[in-house]
Amino acid sequence: MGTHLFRCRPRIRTLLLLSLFLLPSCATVDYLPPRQGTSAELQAILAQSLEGNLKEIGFDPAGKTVDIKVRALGGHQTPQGLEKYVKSLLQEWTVRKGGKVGPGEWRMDVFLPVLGSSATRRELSYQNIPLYYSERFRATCQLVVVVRDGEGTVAGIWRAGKGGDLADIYLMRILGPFDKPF
Amino acid sequence: MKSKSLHRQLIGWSFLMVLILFLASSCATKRYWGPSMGRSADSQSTPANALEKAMKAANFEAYKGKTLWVEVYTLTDRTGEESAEERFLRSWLAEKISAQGARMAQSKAQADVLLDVKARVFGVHQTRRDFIPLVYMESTQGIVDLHLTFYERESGKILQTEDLKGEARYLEYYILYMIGPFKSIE
Repeated sequence: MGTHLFRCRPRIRTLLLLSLFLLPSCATVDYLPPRQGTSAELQAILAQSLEGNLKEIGFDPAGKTVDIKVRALGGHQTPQGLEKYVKSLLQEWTVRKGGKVGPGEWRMDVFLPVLGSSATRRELSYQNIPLYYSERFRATCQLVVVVRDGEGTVAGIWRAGKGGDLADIYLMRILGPFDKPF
Repeated sequence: MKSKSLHRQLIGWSFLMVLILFLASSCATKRYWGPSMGRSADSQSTPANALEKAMKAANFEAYKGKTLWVEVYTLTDRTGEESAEERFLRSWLAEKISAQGARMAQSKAQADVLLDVKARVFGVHQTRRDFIPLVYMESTQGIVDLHLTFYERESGKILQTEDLKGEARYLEYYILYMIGPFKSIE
């Protein structure tokens, strides 16, 4: 029966192959995700890079009262949230190291000229079926910390620029994601 | 004999054609008409479930009888000063804290303990997968990663720090782009 099945007229065989080729394609608009705000992966990679950059600050706040001011350019709709988040991170960092946060002798100006991400999509596909598909997120963070003493003299300037990198790899859009942190 | 075999072959082919026509031309795709639909139900329920899981490990018994002031910081989008996630997290935490015997302060100055909550992650990660035309899936993963720092208000000292993490996954899949959705919640 199996061999008989393929011994048909070339016209029928062509028709069958054509229908097999055309019908499985699905002409619909791709799913457009609803506004989800900042994605979970993006938040994670930004938070990681911020925490990594704090380790680069060489100032020792032990026994000092530090007034912290944060200014961010940020890719967010308004940088207020980011500024408050970073201030809270620095507050915990200062207290952990034996310092205090509030109006006092020392002043710490923190600038975040860059905190953002870029995404690169790669795919190797055939007939809309990607054999290999990957999304790579890269976070870029630049942190500048200026510490001044009570007289306004700069006690130190620290620059940090640790980023983050994360890639999700899919095979044939069905297998995966295989996370590949760089 | 020859015509019988040809007849059987024709029936076989016809059946195959009908099957292909029926199965392969179907097409189910989850749609979203923005922006009026706002944040989708999947995108709301998964982080809420993840938060529920994360909060299971939270213990505020040590602050029984004390007054707390909660501040929440996230990296989420906002149009005003406080994002929707921050407002939701703050209220949810206040509820959990009150349920365990502590009280919420009316103002920061009246609190015994200041609780700073940094949400490293509070959001979703969505993935679409398809293997045309056999399987089509929409996976929504809600992720919550909170860092809690308890400060004594007067001295400013850290009393306790805690990390709470939770994940929830909602999967919807369609077979042959026609049958479904089959739903699974983890």
